[in-house]
Amino acid sequence: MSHLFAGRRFQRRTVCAAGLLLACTLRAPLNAQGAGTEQISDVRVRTAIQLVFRNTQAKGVPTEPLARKVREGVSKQADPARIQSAVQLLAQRLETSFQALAPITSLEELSAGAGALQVGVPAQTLRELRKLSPTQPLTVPLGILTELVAHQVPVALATRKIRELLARGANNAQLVALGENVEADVAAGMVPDAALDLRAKGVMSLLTAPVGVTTVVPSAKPPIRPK
Amino acid sequence: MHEERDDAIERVKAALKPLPPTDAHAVARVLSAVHGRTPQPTPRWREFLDWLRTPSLSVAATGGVAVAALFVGYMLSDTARTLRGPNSAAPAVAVAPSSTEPTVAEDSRPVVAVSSIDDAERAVPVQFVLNLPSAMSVSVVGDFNNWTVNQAPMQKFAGGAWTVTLPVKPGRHEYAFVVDGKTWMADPRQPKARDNDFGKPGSVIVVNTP
Repeated sequence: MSHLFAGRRFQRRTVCAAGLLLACTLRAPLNAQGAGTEQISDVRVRTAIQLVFRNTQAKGVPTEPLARKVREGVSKQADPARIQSAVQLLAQRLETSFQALAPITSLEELSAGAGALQVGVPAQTLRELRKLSPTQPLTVPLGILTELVAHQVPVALATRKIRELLARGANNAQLVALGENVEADVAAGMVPDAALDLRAKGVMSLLTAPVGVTTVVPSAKPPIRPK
Repeated sequence: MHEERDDAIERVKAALKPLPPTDAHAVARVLSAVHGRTPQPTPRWREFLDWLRTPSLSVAATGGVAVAALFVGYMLSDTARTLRGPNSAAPAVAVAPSSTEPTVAEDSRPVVAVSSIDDAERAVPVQFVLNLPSAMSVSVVGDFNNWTVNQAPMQKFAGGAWTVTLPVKPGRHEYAFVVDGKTWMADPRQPKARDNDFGKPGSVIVVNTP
């Protein structure tokens, strides 16, 4: 091999330019490899996950949540095939969330959108919420929506209530209190729909902003949870 | 003519005569200082420019340059990626200074909103508590610490309560306690998380904005 290069000399500027080009080209694969996949022993699974990373990245979707999912699977000592499946499904949800919530405000919001999609919230709802709150992060409202649905509140009802509350200018503290109260009511034996209806009315009574206003109002006192 | 020349010589002689005698020590000091002074080194950047100007490079040196350029390019690419945002080929999320209007690219692909949302995304301290006197060690593992076991060990207090306070960003988070380095446990104080992906017990916490 060395005889091929014996006596060959290269232009220094050319070499530097070629190195930079190579580095930029290799950037994506290096990034994917450094995402925790090296901890997966199964080579085929590892390659498949790296491919998911690359495809996601090529679509312009941040891959940090995927890396976190890989680490979660590794920490929980999950089967490699299961990690692969979880990463593939999350990649799809992230892509949908990325499109529906455009323009996303943070990785947390993107993940919150993907979490809402996982429990069955339709992408259209994410788009509507983004229209209601174009510049404010939807991380907390989406988290509350996800939890409401996880507590057996029907998706349509939970979506409608959160949308109404956001349109009336409910702040994050009020939404978090609503979620906690509904959870406590359900734990106490109340039907989830009724609990949400009741608690949403309580928050609504504190809001005065007209429908369509999306500004965050100063913190109002959340409804008091019955002891 | 001769006389004029003699006059000049005399004037020079007269001028030189009053000069004080030379201090041998002073001369020695000056000479020693000059001798000990090292020449000013050429700046590195100048050496590099000269090196670049030299027309050719050997194969071995080419390899070295390629490795160095690879590293620099990798770093530059990362910086550029962050600046370009997720709408570029290599995506990233950047929360930049304020803008009132959300931006949407012409090709309708989403871009990151540029807004004054720093406060809304700032991490707030959250205290985790687990009452488990029999445990030898307990740590909190969750999406907020990248599911890294033992990154957030809890402290044991009198009575057997374990606690730790961690910065957590606003939003919904899933987490669990890892007891004695191997047993995963949900937080009995918080709602259970439905771990459809890996089936381990866990809990959910929704963190409010600061």
